Amino acid sequence: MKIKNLIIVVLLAIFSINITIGQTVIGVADKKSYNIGDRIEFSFKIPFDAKVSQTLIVGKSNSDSLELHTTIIDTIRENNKDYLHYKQYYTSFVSGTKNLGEGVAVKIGDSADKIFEITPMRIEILEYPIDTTKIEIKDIKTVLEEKFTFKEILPIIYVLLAILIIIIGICMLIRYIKKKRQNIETPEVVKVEPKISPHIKALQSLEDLRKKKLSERKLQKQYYTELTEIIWIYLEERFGICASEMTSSEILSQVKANSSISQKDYKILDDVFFMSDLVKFAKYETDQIIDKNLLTLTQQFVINTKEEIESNEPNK
Amino acid sequence: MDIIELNKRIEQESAFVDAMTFEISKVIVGQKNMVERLIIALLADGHILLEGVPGLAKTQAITALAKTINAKFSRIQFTPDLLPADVTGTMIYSQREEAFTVKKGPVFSNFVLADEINRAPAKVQSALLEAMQERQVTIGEETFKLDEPFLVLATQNPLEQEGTYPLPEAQLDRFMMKVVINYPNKEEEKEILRTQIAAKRATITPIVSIKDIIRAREIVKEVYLDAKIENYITDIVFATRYPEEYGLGKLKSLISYGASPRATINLALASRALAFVRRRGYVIPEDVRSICMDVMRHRIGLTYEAEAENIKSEDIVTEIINRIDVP
Repeated sequence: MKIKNLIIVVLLAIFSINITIGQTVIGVADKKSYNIGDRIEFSFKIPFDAKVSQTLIVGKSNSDSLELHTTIIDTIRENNKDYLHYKQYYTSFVSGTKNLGEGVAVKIGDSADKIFEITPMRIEILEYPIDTTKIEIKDIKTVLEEKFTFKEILPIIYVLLAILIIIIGICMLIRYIKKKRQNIETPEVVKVEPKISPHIKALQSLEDLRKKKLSERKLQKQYYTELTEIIWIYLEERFGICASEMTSSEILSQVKANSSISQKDYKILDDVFFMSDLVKFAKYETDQIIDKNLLTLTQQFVINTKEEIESNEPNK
Repeated sequence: MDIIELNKRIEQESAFVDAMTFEISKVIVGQKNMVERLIIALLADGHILLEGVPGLAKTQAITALAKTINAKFSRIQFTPDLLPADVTGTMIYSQREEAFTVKKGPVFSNFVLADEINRAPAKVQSALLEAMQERQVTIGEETFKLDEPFLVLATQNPLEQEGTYPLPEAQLDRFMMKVVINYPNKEEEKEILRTQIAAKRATITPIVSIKDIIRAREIVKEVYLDAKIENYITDIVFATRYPEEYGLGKLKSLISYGASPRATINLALASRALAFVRRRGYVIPEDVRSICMDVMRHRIGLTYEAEAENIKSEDIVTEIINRIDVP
């Protein structure tokens, strides 16, 4: 029984194999060799019966070497027979020998009783021929020069300024230290001019005037000009009266207003100025006795109105 | 020249000054400075411009001065419609003589009071100022010499400047002095009140003749002016022109133009006259300083900068006087 069943199964299997094994159809490519990236057209035709449907079976739409893009189906008539004309478009990105249409079949009808297998076609995929000897070799481009903006430079300026300030500071510090050392080494000697009292100066000037003997040489105008100048300087230094910018009457009015000057001294000054004005501005000729008397009176005025000033001469 | 002798002579000849001052003081209270300046102008043969607000007896002072001298006096009230012929005179057709005869104007006097001189247009001012300078007037084809002494005393008030014709700088320069009159003090004001409401008004009697004035003028010319004083005067005038050379650099931007040589001449003449009035035969720096302000104040041009800072020519003169060393 078992053997009988086994025989039946084997027969059935053999029978079924006979049924499924169909016809083969030759596929045609438009060229035998292609460059990488070229479009490859592969076409085949299957007898067509309008009553029976056909199903295209593609084992692998994409392989490592071939990529199927589209399949276009059309009907054609050849020798009074209808066919379905299949056009497949591939692209290859890998060079070498390829089997085009491998795994492609067309099933006729709903049942798998009739199948047309497509015979693969061998094609060659070539690499692009590149001749580097004929290609112009270009130099490597240099780095583009881009100008700096002030904003980009500003930090650098700050840094430089800071460095400069630090350098100046250091220099000044060094200088200061050096100077300090020098000062310590050689103390500066401050010369104090001895302050001479206005009356001493005036009396000295009057004595000098006497020695000039201008009166004896008939130079009265010069004599009285110098005499009044001595009085002006004395009045300015002793009483703060700007006598050189005042007229005689203005000076006298200031002297009169000064309580530290007595009426007697005011009279002396009045006489001296009156005579001086006469000689200076009116060509008045005096004799030596008058000149000497007025000089003595002036000395008297200075002595009467003198004020001692503490000497600030350094002790010897 | 003996200065003692000259001093004695001046003592005698200048006695009339005190008499004139006394006569004028009968009607003018205070204003001693103005009266003194009027006499100085009279003696120095210069014209005078008085400036002060109304009511300060400017016109009265001039009238009084004229009355003290037995001389011809005329007064011209300057108005906008005044014509040059109203001042100098004109030619009038005489039907009887069938010819043009000269009608002399008020300028033909010894003392001419040009009241409110800035109220008349420039052509009238020019007519008078020409007479002042040339001492002669031409009417028609005839030229007439003006009488000696010829003194123009003009007045103007600093207020009511609208509708006035300010005197141009060149014409101002022809006045020897410009005297600014201020208000009297309280005591003087009381005295004015008493004199004006008194039942009997004081009258002025002529005490000086024209001959006396002319003789006094001759003596004034003899007043000694030393070289030191000459230097002092020129220093003052030059300081208005080149202040930086006298340590007054700050005034440079305030002065547009300095005093003219006419200022130097007038300062010397006025100083001499002042020395005479003060009975001296020689000029001292005091005289120059005393008269300097009135001689110089209208001869210094101020810049816009000075005007903007409200600086007056008086301030500049004061600064210069205080800076220049007295000889």
